[in-house]
Amino acid sequence: MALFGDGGKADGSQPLKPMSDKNKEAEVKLQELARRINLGATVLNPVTESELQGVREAVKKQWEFEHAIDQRVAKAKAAEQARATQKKTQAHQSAHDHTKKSNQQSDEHGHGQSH
Amino acid sequence: MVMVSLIQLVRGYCTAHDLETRLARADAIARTVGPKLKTHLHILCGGQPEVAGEAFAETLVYIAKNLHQFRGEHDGAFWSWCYHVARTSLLQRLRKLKADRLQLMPPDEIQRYVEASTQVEALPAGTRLDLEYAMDLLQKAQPPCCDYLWKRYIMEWDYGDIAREYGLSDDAVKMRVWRCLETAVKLMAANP
Repeated sequence: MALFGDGGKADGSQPLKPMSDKNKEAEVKLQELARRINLGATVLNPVTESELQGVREAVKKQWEFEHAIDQRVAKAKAAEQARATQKKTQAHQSAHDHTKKSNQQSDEHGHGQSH
Repeated sequence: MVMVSLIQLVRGYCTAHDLETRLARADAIARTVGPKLKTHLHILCGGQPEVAGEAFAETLVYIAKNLHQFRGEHDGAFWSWCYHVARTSLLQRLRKLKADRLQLMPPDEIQRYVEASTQVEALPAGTRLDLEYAMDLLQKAQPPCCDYLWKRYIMEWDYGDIAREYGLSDDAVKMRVWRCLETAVKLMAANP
C-alpha cells in the first residue's frame, strides 16, 4: 500500500512524530462520535428479554454442570473415606486376631511346658 | 448509587455461592456489555443485520457459559475478550455464508445512532458539527485506513487487538493508525 510506503510491512522502528494539534482535534472528534454511537446503542440495541433468557439458561446449565462435578467429587471422596475406614477396621481386626492367636499359641505352649 | 465496575460484576459472578446471585450478576453483565457488543456486530456487518443479531445471541450465550474461566483483571481485558468472542462468532457465520468481506456501517446508519443518542443526552450544535466532521473523515479515509480508524476510534479496540487481527506488532499498528489519521485530516483540509 503506497500510503505506508513499505509494502505494508511497517514496524515500529521509525519513531513517531508528536501528534499535530489537527490530528489531536480529529482524534477527539472521532472519540466523541464513538461515545455518541454507544449512547445511541443503549436506545437502539437494548438487550432483549429473549436474549437474556438465553444467558439465564446458559448460566443454569453451567451451574448444574459444576454442581454435578462437585457431587461426583464429594461422592468419590466419601467412597474413598469409607474404603479407608474399612481398611483401617480390617487392619485393626486382623491385628486383633493375630494378637489373640499368638496369645492362644503361647497359652498352649505354656500348658505344654507345664506337663 | 454506588457504581460497580464490569470486572467487579464478573468477579461477583465467579464467587457467587447460589444460582440466584449468579443469574442476577449474569443479567447485569449482559445488560452492560450487550448494547455495545450488538452495535459492534452491526458495524462489522452493516449490510446484514440478521447475521449480526444471530452472532450477538451466540456471543452472549458463549460469554455466559465461559465467564467462570475469564482470568483478566480489569474492564479493558474483559471488553477485549468480549469483542474477541463476538468477532469469532461473526466470522464463523460469515464463513458459513461464504461472505468474503465485511461491510462497515453505512453513514445513514451512523446518523441514526447519533440521533438516538439525543434521547439520552442533548446534542449541542457545536458537537453536532464535530460529529459531522468525524463522519466525513471516516468516509474520506481510503482502505485500509478506514478499517484502522474504525477499529481504533469507533469500535475502541486497543492497539493489541488490531495488531492481532492484522498480524502486526503493536508499534506498527500505532504508526499506521497515526499515519491514517494524518492522511484523512489532510484530505479533509483539501476537500472541506
